[in-house]
Amino acid sequence: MENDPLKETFRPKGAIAFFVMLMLLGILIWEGIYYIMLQRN
Amino acid sequence: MDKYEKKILAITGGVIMLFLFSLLYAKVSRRIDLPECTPYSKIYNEPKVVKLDKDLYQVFVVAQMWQFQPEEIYIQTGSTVDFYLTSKDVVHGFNIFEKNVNLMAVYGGINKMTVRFDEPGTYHIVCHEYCGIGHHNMEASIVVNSKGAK
Repeated sequence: MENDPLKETFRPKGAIAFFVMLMLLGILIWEGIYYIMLQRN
Repeated sequence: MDKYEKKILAITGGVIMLFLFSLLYAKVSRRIDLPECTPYSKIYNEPKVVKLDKDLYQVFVVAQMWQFQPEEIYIQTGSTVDFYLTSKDVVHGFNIFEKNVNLMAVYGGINKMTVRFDEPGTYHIVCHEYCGIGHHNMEASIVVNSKGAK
């Protein structure tokens, strides 16, 4: 099992995509509210 | 540690730094004020507008069922206003439209916030904390660049 070729080449594409989208959504919402705050100052 | 875990930690750290620098920029460069509590004193129970300088005002706002006093505030364009807010009875809200002001008026407590008014016009203030049967009529206004501004 230690030299399992599948384990060595495995790349969690789904988890990476989910994480990137989660970060982008978080940044979008956060910076959107931040922009409103700057506009109202 | 797995290489993907390292990358995720690096990205997360970068996003947190982005948020922190954004907040620092707002506070230091744009001088956006945050609400603060000041020690209670009876002088805040008397509603009034005090002009300290050409473009600097102190406004002592008293909220009560179901009105704000003073109900109309006249200031000049480009003025900086220190709002001191308290309540005579229950908890009220104090929200100025199109401004970053969102305070609670609490009996026995003083909330302070500083705002700058660069654009002329009428800014409406509403109570946004349900305070009883007349809550929906509880409002006031700030008139900026009025000739009546003293």
